[in-house]
Amino acid sequence: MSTSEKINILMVDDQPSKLLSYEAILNDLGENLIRASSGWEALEQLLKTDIAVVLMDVSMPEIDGFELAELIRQHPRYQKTAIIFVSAVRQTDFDRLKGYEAGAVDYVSVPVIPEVLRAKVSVFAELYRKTQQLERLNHDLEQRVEERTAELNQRAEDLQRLNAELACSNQERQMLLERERAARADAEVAVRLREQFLAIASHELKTPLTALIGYAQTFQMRAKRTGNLSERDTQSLERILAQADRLHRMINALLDINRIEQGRLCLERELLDLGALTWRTVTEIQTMSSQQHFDVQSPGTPLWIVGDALRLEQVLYNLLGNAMKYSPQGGTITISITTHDETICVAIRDEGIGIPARDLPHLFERFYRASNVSGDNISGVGIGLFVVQEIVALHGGTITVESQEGRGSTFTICVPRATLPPNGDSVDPDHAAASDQLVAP
Amino acid sequence: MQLDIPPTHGVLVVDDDHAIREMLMEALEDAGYHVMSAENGHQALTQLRQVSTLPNVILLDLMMPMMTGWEFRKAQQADAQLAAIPVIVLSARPSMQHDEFMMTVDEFVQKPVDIARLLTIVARYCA
Repeated sequence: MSTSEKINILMVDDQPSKLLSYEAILNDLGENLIRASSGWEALEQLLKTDIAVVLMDVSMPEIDGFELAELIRQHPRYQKTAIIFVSAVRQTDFDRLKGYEAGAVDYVSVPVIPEVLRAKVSVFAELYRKTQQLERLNHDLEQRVEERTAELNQRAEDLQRLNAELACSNQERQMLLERERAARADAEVAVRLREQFLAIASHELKTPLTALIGYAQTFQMRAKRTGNLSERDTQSLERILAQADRLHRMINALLDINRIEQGRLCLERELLDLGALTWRTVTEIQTMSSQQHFDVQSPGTPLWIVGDALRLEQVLYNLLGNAMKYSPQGGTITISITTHDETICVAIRDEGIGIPARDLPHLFERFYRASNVSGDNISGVGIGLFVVQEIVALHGGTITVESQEGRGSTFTICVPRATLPPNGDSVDPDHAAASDQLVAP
Repeated sequence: MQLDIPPTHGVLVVDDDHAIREMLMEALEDAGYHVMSAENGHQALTQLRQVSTLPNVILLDLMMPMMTGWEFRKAQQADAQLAAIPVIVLSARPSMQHDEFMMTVDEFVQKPVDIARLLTIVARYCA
């Protein structure tokens, strides 16, 4: 905005000579001088252009200066326009007042002194110019404020949006955490329910079993007393008791799973012959299988260890059962018992489907199922490799596995040897002299 | 009318399971004992208070409706007439060696019961 822009000065007089003289006087100001010879012309000009200062003759025909001034002032655009009256009429105070009331800003008296007129017009011109400037600056400022405000609003909006997004993702994260917590709680409830179920089930199952075993034993005792049973009958009775005993062991195994998982398993400690125990277990399991052939290789001597016969039977049942299950095509299951300086090892080898290499490191983990099988626990003892490993570990032993997919697997357990009893006599493995309990850590 | 001379050895069997009760009765009668039976602690008390000859020993189950084995034992010990009768607990629950209750009874036999072993123990209290 150039401050040296010309402004418009309107000179209103019905006498052209006066107009000329005004022009002559005001030329030096370097502004735009517009002539009007009547009130109406003046109004026309005012409507056409922006007038900064109006210089008018008070007494004109048709419309006098005061009326014109009033009209001008009524226009909102010209409410503050400087009006300078040129008055030849002898002004009384009263007149001067009327002039000011009508909106005059200043008077110049006739005869006009050029310097005075020039000075007054110049002052009001400058005032106008400054006012324009101010208004322009204001406008600029307003615009800039508007822009800035718009910018800030935008930023505020962006921030709000980010906040909302953050709150949303927070919510999502909360939900995920909640879901995780709920899942864990569910899992814990499930484990607890299973524990309760197993406790109740095993208790309930033992009730008919008690009656069964009691009747069979009473029957057996009666038969022995009277000698009335044939050999086959006696044998059948023995088998009934054997199976009832097996059922009993299965039920106890269910409880064991619970206890092992809670770290509450107790082991018996007795001197036993691992070789004899293995033979016994294989013989029993052989009766259940028609498809596989079992081959036991062991040194003929007693193989003494200290352990829990019941639990070790469970271990062997499980491993033999697995061998059977995973060689459905039949074939031979080889059980080799070997002795070493400190340990006795039992290796169970099958010629079945084998285990994929990626499953091998995880095989003994709780609940783990190899990727090439499906379905539930094997029929039989029903404890998994996790429990097997626990029992072997509690005996101070180790279990390892080797396998090739399509060729078969070999599970080997090794347990520490027992030192022989001091008198060197053979000991009945089922009724050892000492028996105390080992609690799982 | 001559009163029947009751056998010298009597056993009271208390168990809520019908099959177990019958089985124990058979096993004990085979061995020469006179056997009474009750379904729960409440019935057992009633019988003991009505009978003319008290049994030599009580075989007591623990988990029973109406009155459990624990409750029966408490009532028995509070009754001067009955308190002296020895009690053998038969239970599927594993025995707790330091269980306070177990210390108030004379023997504990785990179910399923080995009959030969049970008869040996009963004989001890009927001698």
